[in-house]
Amino acid sequence: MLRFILTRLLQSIPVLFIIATLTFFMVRFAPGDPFTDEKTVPVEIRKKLEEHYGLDRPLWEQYLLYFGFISKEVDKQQMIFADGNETAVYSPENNKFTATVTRKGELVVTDQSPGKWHIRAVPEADRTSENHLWEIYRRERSGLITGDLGPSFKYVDRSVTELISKSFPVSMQLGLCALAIALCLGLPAGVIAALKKNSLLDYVPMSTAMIGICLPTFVMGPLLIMIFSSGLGWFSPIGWYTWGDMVLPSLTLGLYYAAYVARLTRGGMLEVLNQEFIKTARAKGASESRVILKHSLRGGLLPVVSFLGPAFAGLISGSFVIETIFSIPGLGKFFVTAAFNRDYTMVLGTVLFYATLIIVMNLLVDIVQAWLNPRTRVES
Amino acid sequence: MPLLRFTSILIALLCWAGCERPASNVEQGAEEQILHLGNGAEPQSLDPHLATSVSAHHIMSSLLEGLMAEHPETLEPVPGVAESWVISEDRKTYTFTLREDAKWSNDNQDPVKASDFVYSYRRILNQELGAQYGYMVQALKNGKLYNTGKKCPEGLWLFTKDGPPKVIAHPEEWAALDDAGRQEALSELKPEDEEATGKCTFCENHPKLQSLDWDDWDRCQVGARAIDDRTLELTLENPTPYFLELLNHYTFWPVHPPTIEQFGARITRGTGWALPGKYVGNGPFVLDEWRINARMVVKKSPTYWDRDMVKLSEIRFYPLESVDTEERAFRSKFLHHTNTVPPHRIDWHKKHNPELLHLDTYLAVYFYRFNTTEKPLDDVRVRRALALAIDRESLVKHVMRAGQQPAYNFTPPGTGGFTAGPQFKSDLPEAKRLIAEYLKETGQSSLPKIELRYNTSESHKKVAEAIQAMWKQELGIDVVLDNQEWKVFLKAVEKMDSTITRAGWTGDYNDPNTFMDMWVTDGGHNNTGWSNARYDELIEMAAKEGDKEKRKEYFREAEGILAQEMPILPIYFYVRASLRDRSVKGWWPNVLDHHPYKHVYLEDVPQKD
Repeated sequence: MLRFILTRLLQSIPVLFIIATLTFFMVRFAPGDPFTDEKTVPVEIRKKLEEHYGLDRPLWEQYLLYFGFISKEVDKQQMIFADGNETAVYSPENNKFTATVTRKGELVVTDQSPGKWHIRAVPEADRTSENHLWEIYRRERSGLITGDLGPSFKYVDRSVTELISKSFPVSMQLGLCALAIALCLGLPAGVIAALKKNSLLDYVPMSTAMIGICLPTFVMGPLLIMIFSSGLGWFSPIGWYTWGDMVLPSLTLGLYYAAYVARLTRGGMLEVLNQEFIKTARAKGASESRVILKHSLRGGLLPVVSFLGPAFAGLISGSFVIETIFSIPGLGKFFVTAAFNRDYTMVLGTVLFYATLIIVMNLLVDIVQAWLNPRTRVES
Repeated sequence: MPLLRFTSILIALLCWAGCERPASNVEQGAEEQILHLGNGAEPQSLDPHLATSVSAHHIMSSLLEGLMAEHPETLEPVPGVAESWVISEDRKTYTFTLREDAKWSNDNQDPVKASDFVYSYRRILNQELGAQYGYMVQALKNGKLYNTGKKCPEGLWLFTKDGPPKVIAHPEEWAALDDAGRQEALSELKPEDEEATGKCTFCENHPKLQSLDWDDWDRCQVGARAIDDRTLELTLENPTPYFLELLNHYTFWPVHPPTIEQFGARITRGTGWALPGKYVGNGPFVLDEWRINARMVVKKSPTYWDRDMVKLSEIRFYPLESVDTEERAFRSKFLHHTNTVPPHRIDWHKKHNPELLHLDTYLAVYFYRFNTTEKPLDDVRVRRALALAIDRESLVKHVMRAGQQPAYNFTPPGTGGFTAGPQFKSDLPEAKRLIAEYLKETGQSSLPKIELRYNTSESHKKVAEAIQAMWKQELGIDVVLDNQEWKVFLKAVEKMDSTITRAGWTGDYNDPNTFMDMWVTDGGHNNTGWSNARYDELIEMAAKEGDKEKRKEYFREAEGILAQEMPILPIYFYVRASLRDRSVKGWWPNVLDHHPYKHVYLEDVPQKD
C-alpha cells in the first residue's frame, strides 16, 4: 500500500509540471496584461511596472524564473568611485551592512547582509563614466521549487500564497458543511428509495432529488436568502463571520450535492441488492439491518465514493457562484477574477493548488475504494 | 429513521436560530453609528500613490486628508490639512499654511508637516514606483520632467513631452526657461552637435539613457517646497483654475514618510505598509480590518484634528461586485447604501421604494469611438450621418430606463460649471442626405458592413442592438456586432483594431479638461486616429488660461469642432443609481459621488417593512 501511494505521488510531479507549463503559456498568450486598463498607463511608468514584475524579460526566462530553475539577480548596485577615491561604498539605510569595493575589484562586505554578494566588471560600452567600473549584485532563487508562488499583480500588498492560504480555509469550511449536508440527506434518502423501490418513499425523494439537480445554485441561493434573510430575518444575507452565516450557503451547496448523492446511492444499492450474495445472506437468515448495513451498503456506495473524490476537491476549493451570491471570501472567486485581471501569478497559483487537490483526492478515493471493494485491492 | 432524525435536528437548529433573531445592521445603525456600505470592486491597494480605482478612493477618503477637503454638498474646496492659502497674481503659486493640530495616526502622533507633502509628491512622481496615476501630479511645475524625464551619463537630461522623447536640455537650464525660451532651446539643439563636442546632446537614441531617480528631485526643481513645517509652497506649470479641486484627488494626498521609509516603500511596490496594523493616515478614520473579498473596516480616529465633527464610530465597506447580491443585502437591511442598482430592478424600486432609490447625475459619458483611419468612417459625412441618425431619447427611455440624459456633446453638463449644451441634434433627413451624397461621390450603391465592438456585458449589448437597428432601419447600413472580454477588448481599442468601439469615460476631477484633453492629437486615450490642429490649440490655450470664462469659450469651441468632425459618437450621460436607507444623514448627491464621511451620521427613523 505504501508503495502504491508513493508511486502515485511521484507520478503526480510530472503531471503538475505539465499543468503549470501549459497554464503559464496559455495565460501569457491571452491578449492584454495586468496593466491593461481603460485609463492607459504612460509609457515610462509601464516600463517600470514591467521591470518590477520581471515582465520585460524574455518569456522563456520568465518561465525558468517562475519555476526557480534559474536564480535571479537582485539588488543590483552600480559602484561609482568618487574622483581620486580608491574605494566605493554601498551602505543602504534600512539594512545594517556595508559593501566596499576597491578599484581593483576586491569586494568586502561587513555586518549582516541579507545574502552573498557578487561583483563583476561593467563592460566598457556600458560605463557611464571613468569611475563606473564595477557593479555588485546578489543572486536569489525563488519560484515554484522553493514553494514561492510570487506576488499578486492585482493586490499590490499581497502574495499569492497569502491570498490562497487566507481564502482556502473559508472554502474548506463551506465545502465540509455542504458535504455533511449532502451525505446526511443523500445517503439515507438513496438507501430508503432503493429498499422501497417503486413506492412513495422512492418517488417523492427521487423526484425531489431530480428537482434539486435541475435547480441551479444561483436560483436556490437567492431563494433561501429571500425566505430566511429578507423575510424571516434569521440569517445575514451576505458575509462569513458567525456560525449562522454558514447555514444558508452550506444548504444551497449541500442540497445540490445531496440530490446527486441520493440518486447515485439508489442506483448503486439497487444493483447490489439484486445480486446473489444478498439473497444468500437473506437465505441464511441474516437480519435485514445486517443485510443492508454490512453486505449491501459497502458495494452500493462505490459509485458515490468515486463521485465524491473529484466532487470533494471541487467543493472545498470553493464555488464561484455561491461565493458571489453570499459574498463569501473563499477561493472560488479567485479562479475567475484572476483570469479576468490577468493576474498571472494568481492564475497559476489557483490552478496548481486545485490540481494538487484533485490529485490528492483521487488518491484518497482509490485508497477508500480498495478498502471497500476487495476486487480493486487484488488488481492493484 | 436517520432522515427523520436529521430533519428534526435541522428544524430544531433553525428554530433556535430563529429565537435569537438579531436586529439588522440598519435597525441598530443609529445606536451603534456603524455605517455599512456596498463598495463595488475590491480595491487593489490603499496606498494613495498606487491605487487606481473609485472603490479605493471611497476608503482612502476616510483614512487620509489632503490639503483641501470637500464641502459635502457642493464639493467646493474647503480647508483640510491647510487652514488657509494664498494664490499669487499669476495663479501659478499657491502658498498653504498647514493647521497646527493635523496629526498622523501613528503612536507618536506626528504632526502633518509641509515636508510630508513634498515627500509624497516626490514619491508618486518618481518613475521607479510605477504610479499609474502619477501624471495627475504633473500639474506641478517640472512635475512632468521628474515623472517622465531621462538622463544621459554626461549630465544632459532629456525631457519627454508626450509619448516618445522629444526634447533635451540641462535640467537646471530647462527648469529656468519660460515657454518661448524652451522652444528656442529646442530649435538650437541639433544631433550634429554631438559629434562636434563629443558630448551627448541628442539623447533620444542614446544607449545609456537612464530614468531619473530619487536623488534627481532637487535638480529638477519641481514646484513643491516646504518653507517651514507649516508652510507649503506649490508652483504650477500652468495657471490651473481647478487646482484646488485637483488637490482632492487621492494622488495629491500625503503619506507618512517615516512609515514609508520603515517599510522600504519609498520607490517599491508591495511592501505591505498599506495593511491594517501598519497603515498610518491623517484622516478622520483609521484602518482596522481588511479581509479580501469580505470587508474593510475603518474606525473613528482619536487623533484627527476635526474629530468632534465625526459622528460615525465605524464604517464597513463591503466589496460587492455582484449587483444582485448587493441589492439583496440592502433589502435584508444589511447595508445602508448600495454602490449601484441592477438595471432591471430600477423600475421595481421606482414603484415600491421611491424614497430609497436615488438617481443622481454623474461625471461620466457613454460613447462610441470611430476609427477615422478606416473606410468608410474616414469620411466625416458618414460619421455625422451615423451620429445624427440615432434616436437617443428613445434609447435612454426604453433601453437604459434609469433616467440617463441623452448626449449631444461630449462633456457632461455642469462639469466644473461648464455646459456645452447640445452641439447637434438628431436629424434623419440630413443623415440620409449625407449618406446619399457620400455614396454618389464614391460611386457605391450601398455602404459596406461596419463592425461595432463592445466589451461583453448585457447592457452594452442592448445599446449596441438598439443602435444597430436604428442604423439599419433609417440609413440601410449593415452593422455587425462583436463582443470581447474586457482586456482583449481594451487591446483591440488600443490597436484600433475595430471600426466602431464602445467606450465610457469618468472624469478624474471636476473640470471639462478631464474630458476634452482626450482628443488631442496622439493623446493616450484618443485611439480614433483623429487629429485637428485647432482643437489641439484650444486645449493648450485652455490649459494656460487663468480666466474661467475664457476657458469655457475655448472648451465650447472645441466641443463645436468635435460635433462637426464627429470622431466619436456621444450617446448618453451616466446617472448613478443607488439605494440608500433613510437613516443616513449628511449625504448629498454630487457629480463625483464623493461623500466626506466626517459629515455623515445615522439617525433613528421608523423603519418601513
